[in-house]
Amino acid sequence: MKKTDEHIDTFTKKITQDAGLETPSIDFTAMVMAKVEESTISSKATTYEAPISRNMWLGIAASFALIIACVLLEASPKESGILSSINFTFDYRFSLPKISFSKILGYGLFFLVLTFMIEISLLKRYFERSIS
Amino acid sequence: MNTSDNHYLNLVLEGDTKAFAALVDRYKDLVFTLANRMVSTREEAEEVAQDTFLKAFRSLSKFKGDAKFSSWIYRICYNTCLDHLKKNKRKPNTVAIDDITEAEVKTLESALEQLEQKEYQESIKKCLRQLPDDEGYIVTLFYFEDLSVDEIATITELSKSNVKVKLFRSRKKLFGILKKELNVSVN
Repeated sequence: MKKTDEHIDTFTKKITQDAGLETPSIDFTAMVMAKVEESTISSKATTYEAPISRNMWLGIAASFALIIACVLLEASPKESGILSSINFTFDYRFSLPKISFSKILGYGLFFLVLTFMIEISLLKRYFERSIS
Repeated sequence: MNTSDNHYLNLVLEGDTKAFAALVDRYKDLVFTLANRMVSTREEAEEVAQDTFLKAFRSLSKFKGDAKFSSWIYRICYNTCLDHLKKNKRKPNTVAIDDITEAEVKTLESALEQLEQKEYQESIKKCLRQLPDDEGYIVTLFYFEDLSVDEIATITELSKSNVKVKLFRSRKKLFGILKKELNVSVN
């Protein structure tokens, strides 16, 4: 039995080597290189940049500071400001309508949100896998 | 690692993308053969082989020089084949494992000797392609590429004993397929 196994082993080696290699289509390398070039270009194209540039952030900060400064200046007790002409007294005596949810609706909404969040995480993982 | 492989790898890593073509040319036949012995059709094998090289190119910076480049690319090819098999129809795993006698081996050898060279090669290739799952892949790495069981275990991430079992079974299966293909009967 051992002798037969050895014979089959030698026989398999011989036939596998005799079979040799198979060759793909003639333009195989060209096709691979085209894909490689394409991936190099697309990886350059998808270089991520911050949606808000540094200069824009500085502009936003400056305008925000300006608004605060204006408000503070206007808030100081002066008779001649624009804001002094507006009447800020407001009558808060109103009541909101009472809305009551049933327990079933509450549970329904809870599970809907739960399902939604689980689905998002599963979909995220699926797309990440399919891209990588 | 082969010095030439290293040379081309460095060129690619330095930004010479075209140097990768030399590596594709060097390994395309073997990668294609391996893929063709695992997936169902020649077209699928070509697609898998192309994907293998593309994946290798994209993760070239992660390649550690302590392993052989060839082993690394065989591993990528193996995983790409597995991914492909997960998405597509697998080859039917219906090859029987029969006991083989010494007389049967001799009869099959003489039957093969009678074939013309081209017909002989085509018959063996056809039979190797019929091996189910990853068996044709493992047989090619072991008997054609002369890789050790350890190396195959690293490439396929299977245990050494599992690789040995697969080799033992595939030898018998291949014998059965050849017998059927050549219509050899032993009395």
